[in-house]
Amino acid sequence: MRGLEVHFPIRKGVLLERPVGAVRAVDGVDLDVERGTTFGLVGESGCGKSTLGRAILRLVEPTAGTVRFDGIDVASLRPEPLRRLRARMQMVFQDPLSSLDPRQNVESILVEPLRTHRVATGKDARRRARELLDVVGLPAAAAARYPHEFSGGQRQRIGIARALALNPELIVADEPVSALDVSIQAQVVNLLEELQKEFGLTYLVIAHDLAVVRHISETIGVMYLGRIVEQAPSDELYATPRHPYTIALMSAVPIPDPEVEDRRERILLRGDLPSPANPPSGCRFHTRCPFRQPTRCHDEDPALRELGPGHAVACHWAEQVATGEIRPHPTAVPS
Amino acid sequence: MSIAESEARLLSTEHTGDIAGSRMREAFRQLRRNPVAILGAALITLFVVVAVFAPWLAPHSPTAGDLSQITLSHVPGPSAEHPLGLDTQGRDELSRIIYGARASLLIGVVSLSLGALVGMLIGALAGGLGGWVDSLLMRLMDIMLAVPGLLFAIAVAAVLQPSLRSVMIAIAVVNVPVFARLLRASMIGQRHSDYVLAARSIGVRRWRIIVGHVLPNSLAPVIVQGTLSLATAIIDAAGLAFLGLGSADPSVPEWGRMLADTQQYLQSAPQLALFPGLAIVVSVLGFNLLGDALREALDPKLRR
Repeated sequence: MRGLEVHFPIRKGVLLERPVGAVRAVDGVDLDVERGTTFGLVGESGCGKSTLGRAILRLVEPTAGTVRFDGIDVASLRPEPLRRLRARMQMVFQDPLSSLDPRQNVESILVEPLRTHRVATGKDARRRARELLDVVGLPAAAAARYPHEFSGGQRQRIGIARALALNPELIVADEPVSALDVSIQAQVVNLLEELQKEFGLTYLVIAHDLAVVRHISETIGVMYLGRIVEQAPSDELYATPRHPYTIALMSAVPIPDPEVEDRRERILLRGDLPSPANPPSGCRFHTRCPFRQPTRCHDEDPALRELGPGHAVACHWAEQVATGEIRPHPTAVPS
Repeated sequence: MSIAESEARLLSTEHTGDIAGSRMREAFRQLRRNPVAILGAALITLFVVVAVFAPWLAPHSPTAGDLSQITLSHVPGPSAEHPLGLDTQGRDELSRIIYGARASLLIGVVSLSLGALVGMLIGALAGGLGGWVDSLLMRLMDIMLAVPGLLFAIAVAAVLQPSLRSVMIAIAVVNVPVFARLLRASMIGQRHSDYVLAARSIGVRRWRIIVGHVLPNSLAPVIVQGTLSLATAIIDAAGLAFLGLGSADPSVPEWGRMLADTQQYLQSAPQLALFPGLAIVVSVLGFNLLGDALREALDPKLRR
């Protein structure tokens, strides 16, 4: 995926709408997801991570850029080939109830993708539906029930079963567990991992929960206001975050060791996410950055540059921040 | 995965009963427990039974009258022979009320079905396709809605030949924009839901998503509106008949016309205004009560 941009036009006018601006939900994102691996995408609400996920599947139209899936340019595919390609890339949604049609029973939900792509019909499709239920750990008796009769975790299993129905290669999971109870989250995450091993799936997991993403991802990208600000192998990102935004995010995670926890320095971010319709000049994070330096952060947009193998950061001062040469401003509150 | 297993066990023990426990069934159960719904349904049943079995229920002919007893200052009131008395043409009032239910029911059902069908077609097109089709159709509906309903119906009925059919067409036309807007709004609400996105991500074709997912999930408010609109249709039919825009044949009993016919006799025979008025109120009340109860049952947000 290269230079992906999704801008939503802001329109005004009663009869003849004219664009007066654009919400830059996703603004120039490059990322590569390797087959059979999991890429985790984190960022706060409204940073564009869901839009990015949907743009990759072309559920929203990208304004610019290319998405390559197995060499096929998804972004410029015509409707019918795109429809056929959809069998190979699927999505798991955040809210499992609202993503299931309340008037369809589970069997009908699972049979629909099979019928749509003429993979199986009639008895074969129904048998396949029961297989799918078994794969996600639901009893065959669930087939005749309706989504509202299930618990949150069970519904998400149904959603995952539907995504698996067509034997896809890529699954984009948009906050797959954030609507679930913590006790159920682990089960669903484990299920996703098992399925990956079993079917060789490639995942793009979108989440705001750092722990979930860390658990299942090989590589993690941190998004801020439509851009990727840092990308690194999972463990490295957690051990040595480089971008001030990532550092601030990590400092919010409690450490399960009381002594370390007591010494933990928390960096609080002030204010809200700026409007993506009118992003700040220079570095997009400079309005909230605790390590902000005069003029350059304000004037110059930092490029995503590689600091180590597979570790890229979009910050002018990443090295100085890492060595402690630049200390956070007093907005940081020691705990 | 032991928790999954226990979940599975829960599943199989919890709902061992019937499997088609859909939302409709749940709504129906709600309705049965609601006294308002029972009353509404009872009134509607009474109304329908009276209309259907009018020839067996009416004690006299609704059209044959005896003018000899009628003067401007005296219309015979209730008696053993005529429980509700005679009308201004010497006809049995009770029989005319009973037969009047037929006109009301016929007009209500036919005009509503016609109006709802055309309205839903327009609404489905607008809500399903969006874009300029939506804008064009909805501006048309706005124009129709800008004129008060009964006034619009009067205009339509006046242009056509006076007949029951004209009344039905007039009321149907009035109902078109109501249903069009309602279904469109409901469909647009559904169109942006996650399950539509899910269907798209599976690769389901657009028309299939609209017909198979969006439309069935958009119908609940339309069903409620249908019940409520039936009440309005009955009132509108009575209103048109009152204004002389009803059936061309004055001997056909219609509640609205019966009200109109008694205007000069209001002093001497006020009961003649009371009975058709009561008949209208009771039938309309039935549909309104059931409509409200239906809305409550189908929209969980309104439940206490």
